Amino acid sequence: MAEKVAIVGVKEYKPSEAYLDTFYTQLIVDTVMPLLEEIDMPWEEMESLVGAGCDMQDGRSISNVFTVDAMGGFMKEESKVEEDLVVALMYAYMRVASGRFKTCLVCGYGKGSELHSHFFTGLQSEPVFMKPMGLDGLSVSALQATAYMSEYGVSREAGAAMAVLDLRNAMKNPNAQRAMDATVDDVLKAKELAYPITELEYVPISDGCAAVMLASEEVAGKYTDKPVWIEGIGNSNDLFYPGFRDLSDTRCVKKAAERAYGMAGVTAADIGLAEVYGYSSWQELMVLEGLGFAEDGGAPDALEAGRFRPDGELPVNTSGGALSANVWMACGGYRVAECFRQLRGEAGERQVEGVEKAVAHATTGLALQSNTVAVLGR
Amino acid sequence: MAESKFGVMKGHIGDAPYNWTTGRTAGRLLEEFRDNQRFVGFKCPSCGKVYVPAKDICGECFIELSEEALEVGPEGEVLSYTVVREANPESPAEAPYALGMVKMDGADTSIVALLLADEKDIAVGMRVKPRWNQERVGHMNDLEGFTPA
Amino acid sequence: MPRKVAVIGTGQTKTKMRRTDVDFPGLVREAVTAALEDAGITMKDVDAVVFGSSPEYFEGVNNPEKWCLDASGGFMKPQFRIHTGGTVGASTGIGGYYHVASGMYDVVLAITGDKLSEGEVQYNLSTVYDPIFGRDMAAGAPSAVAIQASRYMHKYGVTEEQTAIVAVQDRKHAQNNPYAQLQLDITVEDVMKSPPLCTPIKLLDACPASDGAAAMVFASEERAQKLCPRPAWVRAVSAIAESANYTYRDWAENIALIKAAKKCYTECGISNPRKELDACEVYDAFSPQLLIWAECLGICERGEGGKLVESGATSMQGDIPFNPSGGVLSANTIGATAMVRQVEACLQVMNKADQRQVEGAKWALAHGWGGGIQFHTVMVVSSEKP
Repeated sequence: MAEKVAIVGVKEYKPSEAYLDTFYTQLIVDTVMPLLEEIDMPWEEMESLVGAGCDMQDGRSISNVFTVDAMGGFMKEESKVEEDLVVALMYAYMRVASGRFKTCLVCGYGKGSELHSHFFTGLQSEPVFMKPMGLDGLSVSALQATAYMSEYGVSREAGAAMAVLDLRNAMKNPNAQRAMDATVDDVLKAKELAYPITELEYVPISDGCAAVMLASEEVAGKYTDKPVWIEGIGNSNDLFYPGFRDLSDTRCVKKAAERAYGMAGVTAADIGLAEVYGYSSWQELMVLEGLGFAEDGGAPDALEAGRFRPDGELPVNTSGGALSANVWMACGGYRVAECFRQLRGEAGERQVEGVEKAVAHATTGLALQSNTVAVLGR
Repeated sequence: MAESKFGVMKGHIGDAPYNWTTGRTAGRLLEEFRDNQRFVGFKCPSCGKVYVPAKDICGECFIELSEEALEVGPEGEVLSYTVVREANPESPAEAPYALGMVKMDGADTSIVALLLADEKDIAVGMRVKPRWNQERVGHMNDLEGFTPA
Repeated sequence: MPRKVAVIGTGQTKTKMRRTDVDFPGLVREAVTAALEDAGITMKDVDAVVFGSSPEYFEGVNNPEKWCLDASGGFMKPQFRIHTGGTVGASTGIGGYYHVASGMYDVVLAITGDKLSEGEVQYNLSTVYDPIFGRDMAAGAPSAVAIQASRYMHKYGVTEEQTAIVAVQDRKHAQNNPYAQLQLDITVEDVMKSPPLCTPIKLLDACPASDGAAAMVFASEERAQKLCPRPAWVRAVSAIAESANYTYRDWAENIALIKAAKKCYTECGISNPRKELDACEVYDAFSPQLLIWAECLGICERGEGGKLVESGATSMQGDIPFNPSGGVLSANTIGATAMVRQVEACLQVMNKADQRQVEGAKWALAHGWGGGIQFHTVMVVSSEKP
């Protein structure tokens, strides 16, 4: 019988465009140690660790050679998932659910400032057909946005409206990197990076770190009286080469959601709040559809009708989302953190009343190729 | 560096040199670029999808693509596009440049390549034809890009 | 009570310095196909895939699991990548184990591999060293192991001739293994005469660089019983990390490996590993390492590794055969290497190791190391169900 698994504590390092004076392991130490202190967990009781990071972002192969110590992993059972923190969370969940560990730290970090954003995302391109075309996170996201607009007759303003929601929400987040009382016009007039995506519709670069502590039901109460349960978690993947699939099709997000919802015994209608992550506001709209919060092609209308606003039926990205701050490899961790706080009534000015279940989503790969969905509940 | 049975793509990431093997179907497509200035696709024996470009298997059916190469094109349709204004160090051209997802006639997938046209003349659904470089070596860049048909 | 998990099938590709007929995804697909066939299942029976490969710099593509998605059978399935350096093969196998042990999935495919020949291997390995603190002095992997070996041999008076026995023995064992890259008939003298790479490591003391992939199918107790007449039950797993640099580190032993081994033995109820294990597959990238691993695994006393191999105990005719597959000295893809140790251990207890079978093997151990020789993994498998 699988163990129930809870999140008993979360800590994020305030994201910044660049921490020039902070070595990457320092970011980690300054996140993990305060977390242990906050939940009053002696280091000995941290039984296991799953890190999340990326060698190519660090410019160091086997980058966990140095980060394991910073995460408190010395002489502990550890592993590392080379994807976003939410994916590492899924693996950490498995380890605790198996019954072999009572606690497990999940820690993701990144110093995006140390390299060119598009060069970094471009490293994912395969050598024969994609690298010669310089395909990267930006250009592929743009191709996907155009495909989505064309398939559903969605207006150019839709992406901008989603960005407006994110950037305005961010104004209430003390951990925001980018926050603006923006209008659709501001977003449309911002520097165009690749049609139809402007600077305000695309993720910024951030340095940061997030840490999440998992505990089994048996011991969760030792560390908090308000555990947040991982009720369901699912992942799915689509084909790799962008031209092999219809980029406007969110079948992969739907599959991941199906798995997570199935495990949690919920439907989309039961979700009270969502934090979603895509490289641009266009991907966020598509993810909302994939998660079942709007019809295919219907997210822009739902957005315009106010559904996703903080005072709407299903508040989305109350933290400001990835458009506010994007720490590659940890971005999903900031999504989990917001859900965690909202479920515990600790979201301050951003608090949405009565959230029972929240969804944290993260994408990895290009054009929403891979998606992980977590259903969190109190 | 050893020659590959099907083809080798030389490249660099920063200072690091690479000799990437292409595999069968990608290698054949690049040969066709070089020798015959045309596109070929490979069919999935299970679902019938014709892949252009191809990477040896149909991922949806998890089965190897046909031995036989099928000619596709010469023209195609633009399924999606973008105009890149913020390039990266590996970009194929000076920004701004246009990229399109082009489905060749007879193919079920699209290939991403440069669109050689004015931004105002590009639209989803437009018909295009390939323009080839004079010097071709069996590389994606043998295809200069697509122009309005 | 953790769920019981077994390995019901394995697959590996023949390792070669350079495969020119496939790209990296193609290589992965070969191992996947072989494992599915061995397990007697199709991709439809697989609930999830877990993928591992070592530094992305080797193939030059970030998120290689995304690139290999189609070829790994991951379409519309859960899949993510584990990457822990040299241990990645084992960490991924351990990942496969946890996928099933969690109760979330019943049949899981774990895949690992690397195509080292796509780039310049030692250049890419030098990127392990921190750019600020070590990269100027980097000389790939041999330099780190040379430091380890020098310290160990000095501390215990172990000779190069003794370590050379490992080089001879592994390559001899490899002759029984159709998947091994180096199947050599050499003598201790040949090893001693081979050109020095990084003293005391000589050319014949070193592993090759290979293109290759491996895969394993993990299954729940119920599925294993239905699908496999003699599965390899996963009896214990452990993956411990000591630090890359700490002031009291003694390179002659690895506290992480000692701890991982102890944990596994306790879990299995093994008090005398030399007697109770029938075979060991260890990650000997360079000859002297086998001696150190044997000591840390408790097969012999600290400092007695040289005498152990001299006695013939670790040969196929000995009482505790090490690396019947030929070990890492005979094939090293880096990405799949630690998984191949697990695969070979499983083959032993499943009685499927053909020419390299240790007769009557029921218990086997697989070891891996990685990073600054700080990550160590141990998996113990048995034909006996827990």
